[in-house]
Amino acid sequence: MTVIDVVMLAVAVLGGASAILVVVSRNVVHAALYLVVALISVAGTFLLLGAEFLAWTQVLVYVGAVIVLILFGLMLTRAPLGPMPQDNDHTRLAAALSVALFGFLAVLIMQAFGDTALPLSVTPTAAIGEILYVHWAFPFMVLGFFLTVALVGAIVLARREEGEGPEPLFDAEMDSERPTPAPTDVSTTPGVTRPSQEIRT
Amino acid sequence: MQAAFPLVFAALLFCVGVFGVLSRRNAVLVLMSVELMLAAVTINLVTFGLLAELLARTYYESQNKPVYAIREVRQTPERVVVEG
Repeated sequence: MTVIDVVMLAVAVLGGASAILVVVSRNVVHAALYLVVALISVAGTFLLLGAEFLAWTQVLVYVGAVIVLILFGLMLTRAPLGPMPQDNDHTRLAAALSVALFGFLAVLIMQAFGDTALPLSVTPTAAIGEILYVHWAFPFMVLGFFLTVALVGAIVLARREEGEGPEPLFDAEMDSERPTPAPTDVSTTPGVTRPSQEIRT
Repeated sequence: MQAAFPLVFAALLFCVGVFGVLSRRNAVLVLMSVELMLAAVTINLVTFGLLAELLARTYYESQNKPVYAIREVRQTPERVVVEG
């Protein structure tokens, strides 16, 4: 075994252990922090395979953005954060299924690629930039446009549930009793009262 | 490095993610398990990309093709046939 094999084995053991801790942890925040370790070990795997651009992208996007998004989502919502049982009823079935799947995949991989040596070479980031911005510039821009459209669509969908514009306070309390979200100009027109308001007054 | 190292690591991550998706109740934890499965898929993509490079090299070299591109072909002068 060469040095790179030993490093790869250490990274795989670290990543596998932290991934298992992600799915068995009883605290949501601890699971998110173990996921940081697992994703950093994935980035280390990319570095060992010679894909340095992919490794730093993994660190920036996953560790820097997705984990922060998950943690902010946990902190800004009213999710319960303490240690509690997080598993449902068929944990044993899921464990048996995933262990069986891993055994099958491991045997298959060792039979197919057990003695195949990878041609390792470092891919320079400058070459990726040239290919991305010269040869594939138009698909790259189309992809960026699609991402912008998805972002705008997400904002529109998120705002529609809360209703457009500020509503009076009692309307916000009665939201759950209305079958469909009413238009907002009802409260501004005098003489039109909804049944919920009649009950309240 | 053998190709089995990153592939088995990716399979481990994927199966752990499958276990998390099947056995967790909290939606955020299900999302984290899906992230693990996506990371496994990315490792597989990189590894099979390297294997594909190996295959492409083998293909080109086995066909006795040069790995370079020919930019210009220069004509040699006409051969003079000496009659004797």
